[in-house]
Amino acid sequence: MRKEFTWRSLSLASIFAMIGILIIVQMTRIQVSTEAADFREQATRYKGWVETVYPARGEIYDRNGNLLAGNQSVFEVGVTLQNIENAQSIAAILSTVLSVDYIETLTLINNADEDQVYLRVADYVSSVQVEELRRIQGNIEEDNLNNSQEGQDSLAGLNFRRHLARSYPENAIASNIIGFVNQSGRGYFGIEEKYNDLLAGNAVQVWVPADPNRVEEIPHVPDGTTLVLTINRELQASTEQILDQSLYNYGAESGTIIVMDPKNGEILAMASTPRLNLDNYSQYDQIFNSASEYNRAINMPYEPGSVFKILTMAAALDMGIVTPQTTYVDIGSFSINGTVIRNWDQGAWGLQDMTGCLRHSLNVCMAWIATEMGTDNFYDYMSNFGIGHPTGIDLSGEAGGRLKVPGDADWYPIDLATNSFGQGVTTTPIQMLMATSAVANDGKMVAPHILYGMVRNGKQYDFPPQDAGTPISKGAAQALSEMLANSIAGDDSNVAIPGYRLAGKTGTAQIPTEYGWYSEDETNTSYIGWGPVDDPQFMIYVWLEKPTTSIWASKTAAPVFTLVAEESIRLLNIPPDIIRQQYAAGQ
Amino acid sequence: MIAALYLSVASQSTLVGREIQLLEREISLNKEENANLKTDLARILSYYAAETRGDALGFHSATSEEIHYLPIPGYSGREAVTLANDTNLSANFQNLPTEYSQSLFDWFELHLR
Repeated sequence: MRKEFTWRSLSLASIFAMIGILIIVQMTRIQVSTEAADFREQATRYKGWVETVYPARGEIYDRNGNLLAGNQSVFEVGVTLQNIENAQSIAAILSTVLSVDYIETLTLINNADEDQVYLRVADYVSSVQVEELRRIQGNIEEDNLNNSQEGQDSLAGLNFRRHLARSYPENAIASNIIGFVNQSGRGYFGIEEKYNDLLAGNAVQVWVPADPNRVEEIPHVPDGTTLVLTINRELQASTEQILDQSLYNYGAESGTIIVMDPKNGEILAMASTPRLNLDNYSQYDQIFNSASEYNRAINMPYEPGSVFKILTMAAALDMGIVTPQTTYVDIGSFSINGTVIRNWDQGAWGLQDMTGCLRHSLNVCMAWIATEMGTDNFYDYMSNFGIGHPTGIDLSGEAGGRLKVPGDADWYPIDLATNSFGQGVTTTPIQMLMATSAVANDGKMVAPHILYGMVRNGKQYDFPPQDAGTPISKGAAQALSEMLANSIAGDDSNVAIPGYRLAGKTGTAQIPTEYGWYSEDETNTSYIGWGPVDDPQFMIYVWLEKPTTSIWASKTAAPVFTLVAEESIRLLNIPPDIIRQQYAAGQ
Repeated sequence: MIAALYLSVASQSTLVGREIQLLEREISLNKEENANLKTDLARILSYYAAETRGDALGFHSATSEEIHYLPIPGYSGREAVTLANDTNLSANFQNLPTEYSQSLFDWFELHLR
């Protein structure tokens, strides 16, 4: 009995041992066989694949959390060539639904390389269109199942691949600030260009293992950085509406309005014409003649005219050359090196104090002040105000403007006089705003900026305001603010908001022609102002190009300033001076 | 028995790995869907859409005469938005228990130490 079991056990053990040996032999045979390399290559292929992961582009918000630029799913439509049954059907349906060219699509499919597997036919197709294509595809497949015949319609091989693309929910609002992203994912203009690297994040090429046990090897690719802007969407939209209406009312060619917080340089609104619906950025070429038109507030230097007198007066007050009470007898002309400077109305205004010089915007008075200051002092102050240099605002394509200085080949002594009232010098609106912020902000100039903060890995990093220097003293700044506030109160400049004390200055500038002299009938009208004077919370710059109803800033830019100031007061919840002062006194 | 145990653990870890892959895919799709919904919501709440709805409901922008200011102690006006989200919702593979990634021999080695 025991022998019988032993025999059986030995037999079974031999069989299992034989099977084991056979397996080992087979394994060895496979590994040394001629096909081994193929098997190894096949195994490597099935191990995983290399994939480029493009992070979602960072979003852009206004200061109150309204989404200005986000992402939305779109589709790439393509064909798997080996699965195509009827190329004509595919070309016909795509041309109907996607408006692509039938012949072009058919040729593309028929002329594909032999070893090509997949062909992209269209990209950035909306989900609505893809739903329509899927519906047609389903219907055709159902028909073919029920009634199969040769040469029938078929959309077999048609594929859809979903991916994210830039989307702008506010369409044209703040388009001159935001810029746009093209289909290659590159940002153009504004924030999209300036912060393209941050927004886009870093595309990473990753090895994706097919083996679930190696799932931990897939790296986490962080999304692009989300940006929060200083812009207030409501104020931005209102400012744009006011600008558009003003261009119509005053027959102006184009215009710009900027609203800034003079205490920290935060841009609250920046409107410029024309504007682009960012969801349809392909119209760029039809709307803009040149890149500098995209955002005139920072791209377009011009001769600002009399708003520049604020800087001349600020410098003179700071130097102690004049005080608000200093008087000057205006005889209607001022001669410098044989060239005569005259006032805007060619008139003589007689005895004036410095407030009178500003109120009546007297060129003669300013030319006298500049010569009293001396050439070096005048240009030193202008340089300290940042004139002739870009402000460094965080938007792409900022222009620097031009301030000729002694020593330049094209500088002449008469330039000192003309520069004092804003002629012969070019600045951008944002430069004027930055320079004048020193007057509104107790002598401290602020650096204008549009980025409030950025959100990365769930954390928000806010940027502190940056000083841009202190070109004048606190005393000079406050004295000038009072002078400008008094000059508004005493004239008919169309700048008055009951309950609020504002300061400001008009600027009517003749436009230099290409022949070297100034145009007789075309002007640039500007206004710069801020309020409330004792605690400035907004600073506004208005520039209307070539208004036709009137050539004067007091009749065009000044009323626009008032409208924007009213909206700023309403939307920024600024109480009337008396309520604010009572509350401050009670605390 | 050891082979059976090894196979059991290996298959379980493979299943969990596969589940993680599917969840990863789902997270990616959800992120896309979130982006879509966020943009759709922004369109519905966009300035001009809100203005149109307000007009249709009979609202109008407040005039200066209609605005009354009430001093509120301690309130210094509206602050800018904070979008920080300290809660990290993304799956972190580094936090997976080692059992899901180690081999049976590694597991024995760890427990015998």
